[in-house]
Order: sequence, then structure tokens, then C-alpha cells
Amino acid sequence: MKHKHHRDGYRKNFIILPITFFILGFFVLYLAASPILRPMADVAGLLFLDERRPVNDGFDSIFHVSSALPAPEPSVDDPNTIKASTFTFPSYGTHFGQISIEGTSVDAPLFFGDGKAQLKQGACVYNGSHIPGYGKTVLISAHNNTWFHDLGSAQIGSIITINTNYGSYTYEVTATKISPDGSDYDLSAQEENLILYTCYPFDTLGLTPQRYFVYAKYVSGPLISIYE
Amino acid sequence: MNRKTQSRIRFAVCSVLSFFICMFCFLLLCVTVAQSTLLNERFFLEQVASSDYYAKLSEEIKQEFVSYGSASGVDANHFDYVFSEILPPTQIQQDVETSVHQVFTGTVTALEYSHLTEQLEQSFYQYARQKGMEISDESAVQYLAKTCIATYSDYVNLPYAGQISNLIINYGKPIQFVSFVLLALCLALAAFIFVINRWKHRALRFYIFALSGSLLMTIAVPIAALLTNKIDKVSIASPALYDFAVTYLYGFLHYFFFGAFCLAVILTILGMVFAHLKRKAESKESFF
Repeated sequence: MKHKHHRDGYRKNFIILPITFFILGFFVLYLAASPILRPMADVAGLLFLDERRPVNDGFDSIFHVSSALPAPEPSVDDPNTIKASTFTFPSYGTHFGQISIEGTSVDAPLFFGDGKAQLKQGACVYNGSHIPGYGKTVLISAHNNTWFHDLGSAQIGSIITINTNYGSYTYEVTATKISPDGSDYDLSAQEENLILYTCYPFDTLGLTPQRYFVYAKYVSGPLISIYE
Repeated sequence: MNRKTQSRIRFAVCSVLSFFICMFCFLLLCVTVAQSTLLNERFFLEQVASSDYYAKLSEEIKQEFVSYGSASGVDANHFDYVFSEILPPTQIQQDVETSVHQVFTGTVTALEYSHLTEQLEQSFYQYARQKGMEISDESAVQYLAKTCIATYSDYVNLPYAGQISNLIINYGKPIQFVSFVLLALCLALAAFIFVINRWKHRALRFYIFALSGSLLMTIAVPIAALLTNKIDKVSIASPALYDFAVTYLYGFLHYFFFGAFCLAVILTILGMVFAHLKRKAESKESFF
């Protein structure tokens, strides 16, 4: 019996000791390395997302489905404005509207965000500006070889129509300009206005720093009440 | 001091030494895995090939060129010609491999692409002639070609190449010294345990304790990493670089599994030798 007890204890060491070494080993390593590893782990945490990166060559659209959704509610204080909380704000890369210009062949899907993937698909709102209705500058660009190829035909007085998932807007062209370096726009304006731009010259080969700008003032469309 | 007390003290001392062997063995394995993966150019290029990096990178670069072309009067289909004649997959592979080699040898310098810029520029002139387009400003065409090749250079060179190269060069040599020291410590402690145990099968059981502990620690690392489910969520926007990074990280973790497998084989051999020596010792004891 004593011999059996001794043998059982002897065999248990083959399980207990390795597990003890495993727990103790990581504890010792944690104590020794955590002052160095903890800041690195914090930085490394920034390199990972909460969800897996979407693998999607297409784009999300909230424009085509908008007719199936309830219309945005008008603001209590002003029936000509809509509550921001009652419609879907477009996220980066989302198709949320359509833009067309009277007297030109410009008729393009409108995206929020002007990355190269969005510029390939249509006209793009610079995500550092605002969407139509915010009472600020809306800055929209597109490639001169594709969607804004006929932008140069826009005349002063032409109407620009922007249909979005939350309302329709019209603007009237007030000026056009060739900019030598593409810096002729003002995002700090405090009234609703529209600026379209594309690379210049049209129909020539090569990349230049010049840009063609079309400036337009607000005519109609629901303004957004951002506090409701 | 009686024999029982002596035996207990010897057991305690050997257990402590066995724990240190376990730690050193685990650290030695980590260092070996690092040398075989993080600091190894061949492993890096194997993961690049497995993730189909060259083909995906080629497609990404092409989309950049198409984007520039859309702003410059060049149709997208012209770049099919560019990526079959001027920048074929073999060119991209060669440039990526050169960039990787520079990182691992500490010779990171800007690669020379003037010949590619010239060829690309000529292709644009050829395109203009085919389309009947007049070129009013040759500097615009040159700027387009230079911008495209600058983008190409940014894509084929590894991100943070200089910093990575410094880390590899700075840690590469000391890590070899560290692995020798860890191996020497393991062997020294093992020899001490062997010497102080009269019955050699008892020394072997301490080696089994140590290597079993190391095996558990080694296998815990990749399992813990896989359970966090973070690898697929690495924040890299470029699809080619994302696929490569995920493949590389999984490949790195597989080396831990391989290390655990090697430890398991050694443990099996030690176990068989231990059983044989124990039987021999028991039969000798019963004889006397």
C-alpha cells in the first residue's frame, strides 16, 4: 500500500510539475517583461480593428433604397428644414445621391468621400466639406476624363440639381474659374454654397496642377437642423 | 541528515533547476522562432509568394495609374498595355524582392526607375498618336509619367523599410549570442542535475518535467494569439498588404506549433529512455 501510494505520488509529478512550471513561467515572464511589453501592447492595439476589414470591391448605396424609407421629418421650428436625426447620414464611400448640370452632359452618381475608388464610380463630396443642406460649402470633385468631362460647358445661370437620399437641392452657377494650383475654394463660408472642380485642361494628355472650378449659389432644398 | 531528507532536498533543488531549464528552453525556442521568421529573408519571401502578393499589388498599382489617367485624358485600357509590357509581374516581383533584400541586409536605398519613367512617357506619346490627340504641354506628360512611377516606387518598397531594417540589423547579431547563452545554460543545468542524481533515470524525469513545461508554454502562445481572433482584424487598407500581413502572422504562429512538435518528439524519446532506465534500475535493485 505504501509502495502504491509512493508510486501514485511519483506519477502525479509528471502532471503537476509541468503545469506548475507553465503557470509559474508565464507569471515570471509577465513580471519581468510587462514594463516593456505593456506600452508596446497598447500601441499594437491601435493596429487592429474591432471588426474584420470589409472585403468589398463595390460600394454601399443609400440612395436607391431611400424611396422605400420614410421621408425625413420637418423641423418643429421651421417646416422648410429637416431633422438630422430622421435620415441616414452617408458614411465614407457611400453612394447617397445624383448630380446633374443643366446644359451639359454631366449626370453622375454622388458619393461621400473622394478616395480613388469613389472617384472611379462618380462625383465625390470632399469629406472635409459638408453635404447639401448643412448651410456651408459643399465641395464636389470628379475626373475630367469621365464624370466631369463636360463641366466646362456649364454656363453662368445654369441650374445644378442634386438629388440625395434625404432631399432634392438646386443651385445656380455664379462663376467659373481656372485655378493654377487648385486652391481656389473656401470651406469656411457660413452660407450654403456649392463648388465643383476637376482637373484642367480638358481633352489633353498629361497631369497638371491646374483645376477648373464652378461656383454655385443655393436656390432650393431642405436645410438640415443639426440639433434635432 | 538522513537519506530521506537528503532525497527530498535533492528533489527540491532539481525541481528548481528543472524550472529554470523549462524557462530557458522556452526562451531559446522563442529566439529560434524569431531567427527563423522575423529575422529571416527567405521566410518573408515565402509568405509574400503564398499570399499572392505580386499579382494583388500589380492590380492595386494599376488602379492608381487608372485614377491618374482619368485625370489626364488617358483611358483605363491603355494601362493593360503598360502592365503587360512596361511593368509586367516579373518586374514587380524583382523590385519587391530587391526591396526586401535591402531591408534584411541593411542597405535600404532608393531604387532607380528612370528607365521605367522614360518607357511610360513614350507609351503616353504613342497613345496620343493612336488617338489623334495633340500634346500641347510635354511637361504635363512627363509629370504624369513621374507621378505614376513615384506611386509605383511607394508600392513596391516596404512600408517603414528603414526602421524595420534597423531593427533587423540591431537585433540579428545579439540574438544569436543570446541563443548560445540560453543553450549553454540549459546544458549546464541539465549536466548538474545529471551529476547529482545517482540513479540517472531520476535525472531524466527532471528533464521530462522541464521540457513538458516548455511544451505547454510553447503551445500556449499560438493558441492564445488565435483565441484573441485579432489577426484577421489587422488594420491595413491595402488588400495586397493585408493578405500578406495575415499570411505572415499565421506563418509565424505555425512555427510555434512546429517547435512544440519538436519538443513533443524529444519528450517521447526521453520518455522511452526513462522507462528503459527505470526498468533496469528496478531490476538491479531487486537483484541486490
